[in-house]
Amino acid sequence: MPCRKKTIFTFLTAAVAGVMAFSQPVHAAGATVASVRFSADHFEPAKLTVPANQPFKVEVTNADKKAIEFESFDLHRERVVRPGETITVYMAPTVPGHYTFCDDFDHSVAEGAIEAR
Amino acid sequence: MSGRTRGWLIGLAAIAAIQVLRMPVRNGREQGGFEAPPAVRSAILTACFQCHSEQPRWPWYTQLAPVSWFIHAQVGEARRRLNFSTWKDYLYDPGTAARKFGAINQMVRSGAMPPWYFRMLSARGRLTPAQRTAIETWAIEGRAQALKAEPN
Ligand code: HEC
Ligand SMILES: [Cu+2]
Repeated sequence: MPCRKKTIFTFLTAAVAGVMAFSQPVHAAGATVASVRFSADHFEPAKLTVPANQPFKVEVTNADKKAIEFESFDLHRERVVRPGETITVYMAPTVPGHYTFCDDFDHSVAEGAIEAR
Repeated sequence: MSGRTRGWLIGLAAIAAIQVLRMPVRNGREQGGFEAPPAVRSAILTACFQCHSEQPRWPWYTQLAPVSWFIHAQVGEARRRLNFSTWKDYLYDPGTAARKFGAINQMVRSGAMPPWYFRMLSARGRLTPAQRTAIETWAIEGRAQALKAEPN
């Protein structure tokens, strides 16, 4: 490897390591947790951002009076969330992309999205 | 040309013309592997994979429009709801696995799956009582296991 390239390479490796060290989630378990809350017929926030190529969890809280079915056809997840309940949905590492989710019990509810990047 | 002959010709021409819009079932990339005890696996491969997987094998006549339009829509919806080619992915989230196992048990027990038209069309759709019981038992156990891992 030519010298200059080697320097750049070393620098990049150090930079990546540094970023990784600082971006470690605070949670002991390690995996990123994204939270979304359902109430008054909509998901809040409507867009969750998660790191790509890493497992993550989505915590879904249903603060509404009716049960919902948290469903992502893109990420192959289907979970019923009863009123007042919070569930944890385990997600496998995914390639960067835009993945939608919905309330499969009520399609008038606006879709939400998970952005993996 | 008699009126009847002409009618037939127009009909045939129309059928030929719509072949441009056949909309064959497109197979996506096959992900995951579906595992189950041999009896269950073979019953599901035979009676469910036609619609609920990335590898359906439909006879040639179902690949002609307009039948293919109907099949295309059915397979699309079936895969969206339950795709055995992504089975491993469901298992990753025990709550999702519990839901899929529960739905399979319900659908097979009630006789709603495989759909009636498929049972009429193909011997593959006609499960024996023993095959039904095998699928139901497997689904009930699978659901119980998944619920142990994730109670809600
Ligand atoms: C000819 C196509 C076809 C075959 C074969 C078929 N299905 Fe289906 N299945 C569908 C369609 C279409 C839907 C979605 C619409 C509906 O629910 O009626 C569906 C829905 C389902 C659902 C509901 C999934 C959900 O969570 O909403 C389950 C469970 C299911 N099928 C199980 C099975 C099983 C088990 C078999 C085999 C024993 C089977 N199906 C065979 C077409 C098929
Ligand atoms: Cu659903």
